[in-house]
Amino acid sequence: MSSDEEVIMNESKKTLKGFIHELKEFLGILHSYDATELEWEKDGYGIKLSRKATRSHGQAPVSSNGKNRAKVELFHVVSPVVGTFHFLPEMPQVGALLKPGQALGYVRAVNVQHTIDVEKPGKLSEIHAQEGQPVEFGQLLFTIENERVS
Amino acid sequence: MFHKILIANRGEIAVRVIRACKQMGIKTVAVYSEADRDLLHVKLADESVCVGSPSAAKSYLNVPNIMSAAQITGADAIHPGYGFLAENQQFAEICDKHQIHFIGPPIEAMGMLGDKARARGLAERLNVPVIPGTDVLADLDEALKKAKQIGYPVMIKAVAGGGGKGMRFVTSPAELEKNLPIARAEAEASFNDGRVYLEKYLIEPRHIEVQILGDRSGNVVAVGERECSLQRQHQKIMEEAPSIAVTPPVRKKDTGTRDQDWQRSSLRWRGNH
Repeated sequence: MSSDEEVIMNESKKTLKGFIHELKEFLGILHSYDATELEWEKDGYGIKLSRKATRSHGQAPVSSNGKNRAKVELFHVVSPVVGTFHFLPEMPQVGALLKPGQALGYVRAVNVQHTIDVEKPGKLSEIHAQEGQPVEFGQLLFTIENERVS
Repeated sequence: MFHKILIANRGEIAVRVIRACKQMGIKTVAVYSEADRDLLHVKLADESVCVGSPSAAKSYLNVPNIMSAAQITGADAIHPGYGFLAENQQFAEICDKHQIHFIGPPIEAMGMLGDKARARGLAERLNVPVIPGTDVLADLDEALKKAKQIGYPVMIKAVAGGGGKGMRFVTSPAELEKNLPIARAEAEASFNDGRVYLEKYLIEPRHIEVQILGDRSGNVVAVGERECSLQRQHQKIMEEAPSIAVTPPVRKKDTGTRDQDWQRSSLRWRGNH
């Protein structure tokens, strides 16, 4: 390999590294804002990223713990109907441990009340719903973390 | 005048209703299924609400979710477009109960015209010409007797029918005997209503519809005919206006007389039908 070729190779590697770094940053922004599309343009070149909105079960990054690997699964509790969301008198707190069947609130649709309960045990990681908020079908209400050792 | 209208439909009809509302300064709410979130009507409406999973039965026909969407968005009227809930009398009654205007025919007119036997009876009372036929058939004996009076070939038709379901073409008493229970069973399965009646079969007829516009003050106008004869499996493929088969005297008779205006008024139509 000639010295000129080596320079080109090193430049290419640098460019690729820089691109991967930028790509990671963009992906980070996309996920942190739960956005489905991101478009960026500068000096005549640009990038467009898009992803499908995640409404089903997700997975948090895997943490390593010696031989046992703890896998954190995220469960999204969504509204099964269109209506107005209400908390129960005992409002759940972030970090609370939840049992299957435990009620977190209810959605009032016309004259019917639909209870929002937990399907699997876990820790309440995020509350997305607000008291009295109008919600649509499939709208994200709560996120629950379920840690399991594999 | 309405303040905000929810459009319980999708596709071109939803887009057309939104466009008309914008011209009239009325706010719009689009509803959509999870599969349709990227459709044009969702983007064009002032607000949008996801009302269910992809199947139409769980979204565009999901009455509780659609009513709830109207309530949470503060819509004072629902436009059903065509298809889906547009001819659903029960839905119109629910809207009425919740004090939300159903943009369409009044409930009593929907009931009257949704039942083809009652619609025939009404037309006869108002001296509107109808194809020779019968009321609801009680049994085979009555069917055979009436078919003989009308003259074969005849059609067995479902009272609650539409789209060719529960419909059978018969040319003889033997065929009538064979097909009557089949038509009844098909009508029962499709419409949960097994009642059938007979009508004289017209060979190669034209299917012409006349558009009628009415308002709540009783003003009614006929805005010309549509040629709907081009069909496949009892479903229209294309509509053409005006029809080349309708001569000016026939057109005048169908759309212009004072008598017929009175007949339309008697149905208390509201909106475009």
